[in-house]
Amino acid sequence: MLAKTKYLLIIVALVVATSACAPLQTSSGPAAPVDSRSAPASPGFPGTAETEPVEKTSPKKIAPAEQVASPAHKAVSALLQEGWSYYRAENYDRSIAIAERAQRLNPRRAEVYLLLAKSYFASGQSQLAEQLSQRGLSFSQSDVTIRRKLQRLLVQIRGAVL
Amino acid sequence: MLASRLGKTIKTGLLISLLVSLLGLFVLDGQLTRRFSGSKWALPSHVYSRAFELYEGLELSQGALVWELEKLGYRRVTKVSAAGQYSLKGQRVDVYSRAFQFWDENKQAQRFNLTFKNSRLAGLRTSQGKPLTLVRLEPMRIGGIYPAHLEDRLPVQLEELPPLLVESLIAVEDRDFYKHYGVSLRGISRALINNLRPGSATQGGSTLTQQLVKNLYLSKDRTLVRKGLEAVMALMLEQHYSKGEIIEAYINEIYLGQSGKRAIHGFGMASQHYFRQPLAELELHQVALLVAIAKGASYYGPRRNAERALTRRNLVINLLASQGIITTAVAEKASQQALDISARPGTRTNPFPAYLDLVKRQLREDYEEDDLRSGGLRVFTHFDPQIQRKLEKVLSTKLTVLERQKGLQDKPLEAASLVVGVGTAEVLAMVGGREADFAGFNRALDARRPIGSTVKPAVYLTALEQANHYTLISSLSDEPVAIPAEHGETWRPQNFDHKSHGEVPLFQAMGKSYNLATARLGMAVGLERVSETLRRLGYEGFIPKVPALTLGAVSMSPFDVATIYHTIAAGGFYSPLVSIHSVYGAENQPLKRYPYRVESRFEAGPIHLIQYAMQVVMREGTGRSAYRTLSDDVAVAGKTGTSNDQRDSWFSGFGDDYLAVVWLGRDDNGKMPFTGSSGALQIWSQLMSTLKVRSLAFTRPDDITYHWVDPVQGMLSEEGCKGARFLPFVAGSEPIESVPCREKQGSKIIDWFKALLD
Repeated sequence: MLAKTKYLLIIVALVVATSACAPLQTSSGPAAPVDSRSAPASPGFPGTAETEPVEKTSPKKIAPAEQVASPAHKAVSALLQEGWSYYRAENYDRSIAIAERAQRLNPRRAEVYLLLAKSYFASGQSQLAEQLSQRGLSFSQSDVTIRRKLQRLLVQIRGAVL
Repeated sequence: MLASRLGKTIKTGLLISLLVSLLGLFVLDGQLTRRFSGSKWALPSHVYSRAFELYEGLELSQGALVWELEKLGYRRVTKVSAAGQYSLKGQRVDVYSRAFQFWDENKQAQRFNLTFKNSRLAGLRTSQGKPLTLVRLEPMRIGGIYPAHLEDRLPVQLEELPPLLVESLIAVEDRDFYKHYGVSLRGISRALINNLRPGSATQGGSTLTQQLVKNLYLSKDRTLVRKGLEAVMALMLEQHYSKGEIIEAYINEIYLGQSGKRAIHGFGMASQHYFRQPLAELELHQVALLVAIAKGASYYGPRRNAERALTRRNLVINLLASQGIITTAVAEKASQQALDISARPGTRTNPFPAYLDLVKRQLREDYEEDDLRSGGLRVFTHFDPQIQRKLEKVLSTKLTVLERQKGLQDKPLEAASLVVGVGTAEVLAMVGGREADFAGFNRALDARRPIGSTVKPAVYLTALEQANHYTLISSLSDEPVAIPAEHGETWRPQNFDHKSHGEVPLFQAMGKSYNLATARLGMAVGLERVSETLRRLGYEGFIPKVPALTLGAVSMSPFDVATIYHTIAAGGFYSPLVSIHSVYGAENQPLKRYPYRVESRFEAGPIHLIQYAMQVVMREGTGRSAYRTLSDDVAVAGKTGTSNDQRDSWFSGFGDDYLAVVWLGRDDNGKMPFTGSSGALQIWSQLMSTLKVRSLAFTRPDDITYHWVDPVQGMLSEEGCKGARFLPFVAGSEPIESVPCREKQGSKIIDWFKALLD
């Protein structure tokens, strides 16, 4: 009987623990951080400052997050495919317009900036192309292929400028 | 001799007068053709919203889609059979979209079905059931830039007309149109008699050509001379142009109604005005109504004189039947239809004045005022009607609530706000005053007010860029401070609670918006550097380089604040905020595109740190009441701002997809019982919650490492130790020494778990 209760408690505990950890799984940090509210630093500041009184609940911790999949992923892929075909046909106005449409659906997709940068570079706007490559690189952590292409393009642009 | 002389004089006189008349006719003819062949009218420029993009997985309720369709003038039917219609069946919506010439694609009319689940677009398929990746609806017309005389017009061509429009016009107004040469003798004689008779004002019987000449070339007064001139010019017009060209001009010229000061001309605009539909989509009973109105737009105006308009409409329908153009059965059916006009005019003159103001200012940088007012440009913008609707609603309801809380009903506040797409820097919505549809002082662009603590991210960012000097746990003194200011004065800033908080870690000073610590920090890094940071963030206005700058003694508009916060939200990349996508000419030729521009202004590392501190504001600091409204798992970053004596209440912040700035204050710069936190923040969080803002994508840049540290000791610690906190550092700037770990009492779950297992 006692064993059974204990068993049950363990299950409950596991559920509680997993649900508490669930949002932490997106963290790319080495380990799940604890709640900062219990740090002595916080109670050490009695100042209410310019704020409304709020129920004292533990605030959720602030931690870095992984890039989440965008619901527009498929739509953006389709646009990019179309955009690249215009790029290959050297119709840069069109490939830029399509890339911007894709950017509007997901501004965090690194490939969007690759297409923009390559289109601008090909149409002679090296400076903007360089900035766009850098913008793309800032989103390319999870996409090694695009990252390499952006890096290569950046080298190419800077070489051409020199 | 005398007789022959007289004869000669008469002959010469006749010859001269003939020559003069010929010359006159020649000049007249030149004028006539010049006006007719060129652009006949000063065409207003039309301003359009963004095009609504639909794809599976999009967060969108069925209600929101239907709202968009209704605004676009789609008609709800039981089964869709033509463009501009939709139908509803449970969770499903069938749409027959309209053809539209987009900047990058000539889109055909298209039938597709949408299914919804949990406020998401769950399925998007063709009417044959094939999955569709992406569909866009045509943009919405959101306003115009009008010629001085305020004639509004949407020119149409003969090919775009609905069936029976031309036939109805001819049947009603000028039955012999295809037979006469511009003038119908019967008509002229009747008009002559009518006009000679005293007290009679109206003359009938002038041909469509004469009516066109009258509207296009002549003054309004009704004299015999004018009547004669009208006849001559009508004959000339018929010599030069085909019947088709003349009727097309008539259809685009005629006055068909009034919307405030704006005159509705031509059937194209009238169709939008009365039915919110493109002309080509109109059915017989609608066409007949417009033809009925053509007789006298104010007398037969259907919104004021429904009965009279209906009677005349049915008269038009019956005339068509009696002339054998339609069958009596068709006439019968059409006559039984209601007037079918939209409840409110489909085209309001200026429903979104603040946004249109922004568009005009950005247009004026590239176009002459004349081209804007008469060039018939088509201007495509980033305006999002769905977001604008939510912004207006939240602002008006929340303002009322806030005022009631403080008993301010008699002294209402003013407000301004804008929403920007993070990453694209597109301005999506804007309100310039508490009456959102009142075109007046645009506070979002023109109210330059002290920004208070809104400036603090710039101060802290300046420090955090010097990783060898400052980290998030750098100890700052929040002790009282006296700083020499201009004219030998001394500046003694105060904290909001008039207390000093001793030594505080940097991120706490930012989170709690401590003034003393911030003023000290700002002076330590230097006013020059702080103002340089503001410049790099994108602020171009005047920056007073005085110590009080560190606490926001710089006046900015909400638009300026949105600009600098966008640079922080976009990872340190500056982009000018834009409202215009592209501009097309009257003939649909592309004139100018406004492409996305970007410039790297800050390293990713310090931006990550400041975004962290701005999240501390929201989770633990002056912004934390936002989470009474926002869901706990949505990470947002922002900052409150309150100017001296609470004259301005600011909140500015962002999630992953949207950035918004809210300002509250008074036009006379009076005091308010609100801080940034108790005022603007309340509106901001309600707005973000209504927009379902996505959680900040707070990804860790390569040069940032996270460590467990004890912020008070300024040393490394470990997970589970008392006082330990997990914080980001620019690699190499983290502390080296560690504090001995005292186990935290708070690690309950683990202890409890251990106990269970033992």
